[in-house]
Amino acid sequence: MKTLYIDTHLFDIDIILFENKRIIARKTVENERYNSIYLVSSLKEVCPDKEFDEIVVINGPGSFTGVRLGVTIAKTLAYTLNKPIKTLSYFDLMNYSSDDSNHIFAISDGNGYYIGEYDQHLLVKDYYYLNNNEYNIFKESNIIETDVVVDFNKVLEQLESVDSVNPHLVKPIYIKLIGVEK
Amino acid sequence: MKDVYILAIETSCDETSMAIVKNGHEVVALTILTQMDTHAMFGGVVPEIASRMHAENITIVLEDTLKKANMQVSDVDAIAVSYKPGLLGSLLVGIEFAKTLSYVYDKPLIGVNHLIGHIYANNIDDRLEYPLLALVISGGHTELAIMKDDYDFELLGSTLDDAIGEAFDKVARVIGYPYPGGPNIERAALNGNNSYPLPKPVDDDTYNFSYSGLKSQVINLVNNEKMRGHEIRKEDLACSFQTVAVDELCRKLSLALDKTGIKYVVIAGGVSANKYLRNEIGKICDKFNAKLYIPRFLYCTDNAAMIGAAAYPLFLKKEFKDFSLNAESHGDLV
Repeated sequence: MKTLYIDTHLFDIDIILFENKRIIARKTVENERYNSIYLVSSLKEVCPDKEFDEIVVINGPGSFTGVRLGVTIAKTLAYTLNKPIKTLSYFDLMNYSSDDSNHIFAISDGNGYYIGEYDQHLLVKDYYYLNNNEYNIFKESNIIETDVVVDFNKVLEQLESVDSVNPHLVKPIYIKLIGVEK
Repeated sequence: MKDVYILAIETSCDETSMAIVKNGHEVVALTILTQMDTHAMFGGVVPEIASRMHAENITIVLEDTLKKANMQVSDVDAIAVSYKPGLLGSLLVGIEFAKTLSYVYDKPLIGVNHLIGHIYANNIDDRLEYPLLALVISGGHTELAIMKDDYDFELLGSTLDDAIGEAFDKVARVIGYPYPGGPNIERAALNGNNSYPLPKPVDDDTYNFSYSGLKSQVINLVNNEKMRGHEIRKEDLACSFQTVAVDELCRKLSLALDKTGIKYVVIAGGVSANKYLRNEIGKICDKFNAKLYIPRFLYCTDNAAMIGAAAYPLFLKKEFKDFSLNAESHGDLV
């Protein structure tokens, strides 16, 4: 069982090929704002023969462009190669990787923080976004985790119970409102 | 020679479009999914929303195109994508999608300048003959160039400030017509008279254009009339503006036809959909006994068929791109 994992939710690229939950190939490109020029070449490096059984893509939240391009590539692969595709948010990854049960996770996009609140590993309310000022106030009365080392064993275990979705319907999660929405 | 099929992708602004084009001339299938209604709610194209809609619809548009052509991606010889000029976020969705197809099916990737695509729209039902004069008129461009052969351009002149399409949109807003401004000005002008005196933009012997002065004149006129408590005759003002704006193009084109002796003219870009403009330029070409190419209305606005047509000479020259192809917001003919 080979799983292709694509994560471009911020300015890093992380593309991994797992075989039976072991990493057999991985390409990371760090802190590259113009990461699109490395995306498909990284994919080709990790998986030159295009052989995998499922795709998992991190569909956000983070950089709008980063998430969108990762999702576009993943859904195109799933559609053209006719492979099942599953989506996880980066908060899912943080949640699956953590041992303790009560958590507030935060993901910075440079201008503010996306927040995911969990109780007993269950999401308490919808993800939301705080700008840096709001976050600094929020931080005073809450314990927030921003750095969680992703435990891929746990993530892949949880992934087994996640349903695959129609590639046409795979969408990024954006959360943060844009000018015309405010 | 074996037939060449190119799958072309266009996402530079607010249309998600794909086409399969045979030998650069024959459109086997074309799908255009426009977002115009969505952006109209905001009074203009919202780049982030455009990018989102491209990403949402891209595989659906592919499926539709393949179904119309009764083909698979594996049947085509190359994947072509417009990579400049345009909205970066929108272009990137199409580019990464194209690269992914190129990776999956081991097909060469061709990067097409969207602007040059508009010229090659004329090669779809007709055959371009060189040398020709190319007048590229859109929301982002106003350029007059000699095209000596495939992809061989000599720029004669371009706008010193606003593009003609930009001026149409801004003037439409000032007069009070909704987005998209160009077609609404054109429609209004049909019922108006050229009765507002507006000055000629660049009344000289260069091939350059200028539209910001004309736009300012209209804004000032509207403001002055409002201050005096006079009602604007909207249709007359639309007609007066359009007449001067198009006359500027006609004068520069006449100059070029006269000085170069070239007998073929192409008008390309979104503004070439304007029927008054087509008519006036047609008269100029008749006067100089030159052939005027005008794309079918379907190929005037953004579409992937023209990208496939423009990709064909690049395919023959084997001018392929690798996966580091990036989007560029600007991209002139030369």
